[in-house]
Amino acid sequence: MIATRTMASVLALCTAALAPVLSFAQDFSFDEEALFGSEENLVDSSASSSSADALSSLLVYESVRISGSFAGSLGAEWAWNDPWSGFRVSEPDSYGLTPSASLRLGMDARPSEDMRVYGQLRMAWPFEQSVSVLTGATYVDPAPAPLDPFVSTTSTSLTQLNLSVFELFSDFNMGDRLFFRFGKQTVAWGVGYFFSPADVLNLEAIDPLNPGEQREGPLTLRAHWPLMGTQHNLWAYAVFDSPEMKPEDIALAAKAEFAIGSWELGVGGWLKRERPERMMLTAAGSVGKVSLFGEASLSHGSDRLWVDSIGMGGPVLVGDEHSWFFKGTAGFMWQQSDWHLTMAGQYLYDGEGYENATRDALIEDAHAVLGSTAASNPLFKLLIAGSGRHYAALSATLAEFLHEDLSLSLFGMGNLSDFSGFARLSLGWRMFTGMSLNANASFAFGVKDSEYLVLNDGPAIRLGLALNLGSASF
Amino acid sequence: MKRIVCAVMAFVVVSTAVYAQDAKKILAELDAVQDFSGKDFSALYTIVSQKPGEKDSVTQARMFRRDNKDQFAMIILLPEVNKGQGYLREDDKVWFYDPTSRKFSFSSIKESIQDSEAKGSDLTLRSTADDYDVTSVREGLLGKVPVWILDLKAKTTEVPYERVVLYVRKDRTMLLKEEAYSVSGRLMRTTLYPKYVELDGKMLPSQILIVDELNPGERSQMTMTEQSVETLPDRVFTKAFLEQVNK
Repeated sequence: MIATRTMASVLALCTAALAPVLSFAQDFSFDEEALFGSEENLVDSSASSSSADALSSLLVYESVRISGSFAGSLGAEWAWNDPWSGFRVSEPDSYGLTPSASLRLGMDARPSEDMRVYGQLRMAWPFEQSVSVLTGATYVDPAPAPLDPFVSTTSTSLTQLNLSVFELFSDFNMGDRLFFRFGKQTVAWGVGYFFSPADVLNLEAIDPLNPGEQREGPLTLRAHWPLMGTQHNLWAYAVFDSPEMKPEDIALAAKAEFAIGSWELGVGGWLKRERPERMMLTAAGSVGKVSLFGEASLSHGSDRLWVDSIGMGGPVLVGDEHSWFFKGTAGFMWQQSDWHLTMAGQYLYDGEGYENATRDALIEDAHAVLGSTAASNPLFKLLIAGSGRHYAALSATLAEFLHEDLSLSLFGMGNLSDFSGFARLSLGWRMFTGMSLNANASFAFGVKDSEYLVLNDGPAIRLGLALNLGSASF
Repeated sequence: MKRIVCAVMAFVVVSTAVYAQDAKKILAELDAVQDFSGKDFSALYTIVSQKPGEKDSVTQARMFRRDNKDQFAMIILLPEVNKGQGYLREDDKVWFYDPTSRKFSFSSIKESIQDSEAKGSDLTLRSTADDYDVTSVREGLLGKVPVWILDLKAKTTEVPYERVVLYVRKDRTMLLKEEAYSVSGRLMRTTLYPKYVELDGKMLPSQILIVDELNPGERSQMTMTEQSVETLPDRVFTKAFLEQVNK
């Protein structure tokens, strides 16, 4: 029985996590009389294979392999900004249809076991986009006073393909000990699920509504040294942010991961000229049935600009290059396979957020300057967005709800400093291969001038329907 | 008459003791089959799952093991949507690599691993002899093959089934059938092992048929091919390898 435990684990790992996608006709008999009709037929004489062949099959391709995914959807949304003071189903404040079709195309070339080149292109409909480009700027000094000088600009409209190179990198190694990756790549830096305050390397932050989504990374040279015989790892990064730059402008980062007991601990740092130095600590492990993770980041100075005051001339912004700023986060994930349930939660402390008293004073100033329309003013939204110090996110997903083709998920995210938040309830229906329907309802809640109320133009309710059409991986 | 009864009882006692001894030896031999200490092991597993009203689904994974260091690596090859997902284990630590997000996630092996039915214990070598008591041994036939039928009762809650009945070929220690029962005595799963291959002097099941007794019509076939005990490079059991082989 134990002889088959590994096979059983493979089966369990695979069948539970993997949706049935590929199919082929194959029948196998469970007739014991036929299966065990004679002792002679029980042993196959198939020869054993070579492990080198097994590795080659994974690491060397005879030709370039193309993979990718297509995502098509037709979405519709209706929004009521303040349904609590007069709700009329037929009179949403806004509504719209969002058809979308996008493609991810990966190219994987593996000429030898030690070399791999991978690229990923992304394109989406509309396949062409019109962008406005600045073509000239002239400084105009219309003397005499009291007229102020100004800059006169000219621009033109260009059409460009909605196509981007999301990843393009090469893997190579030195003696199977030191592994390099050079090119545009996603960087695995923090361990956070909804928030990763330590991650300053990737070009985009985690989208809490899609935390598993791949994020765009920079052009990076990465060196990875797994300490053989252990599961400790050392990583070093050189990040390039411009095609023409000085050597001293390269951002450098390094981290070390240590597998200790039932935990993996990480320590790292990030340096760039004229930017705040950053240090980080990470930890991941499990307690009982719950996976836990946390990260802490300390920076000397900040890239953030704060609103210092708001006057008739607009907000006065200030930076801080000298103070120490701490950000910390901790979260959990719990999965109950029998119930098809996954729960995840995370708390974030953002030391760059405003103190409550400061924030309240600034809101008061904004109201004084902007008047009664402050809440819908972009400047006010800029002040409010990310203004808190305490945030949290929680999600619960039932991959099978009442029926194996139905799923239910609840997501909530909130600013604990001003007790505002946003919650979304989604019901998914896998109609058949290639088509699924998702119905969702989102609610924003909080007190007046709280973050999620301001960002949602009020205690908004949004109802959405999304029909996923023909989405597939290949 | 008394003498006959005593003789029969003595025979039963002696033969039961012999059977119990044989049973322990059989369990030890079954345990030893899976132990590749001192060598590396790799194989390709293909699973075809059938559910009523659904098309067959195919999953394929390549697995690597180094028992000396309690290391395990597995790469998913099919279906395409999951291709490149990888598991790495050492002792009680498990890393899962998701090629979609390009992230590793870490958990201890004590509990479920990621979004799967697998428990950490599924990825560890466990000993049937240590985990179960033999409650009875009898002879029988499975098809036309003479077998020992061992009834086992769990000694620990770490194992997935409270009671297991094993059908082991008599002339050569090969598990041919396994019935797994819940605490309430309900038959949960029947597993058949109709094909074996010989590797490094050990008989390994190359075809496994699994019947889910709780869900009528749900069954799976798992086949093992490309098995090898050749030495694997150290890098196979690193994060670097999981990254290298992803899609």
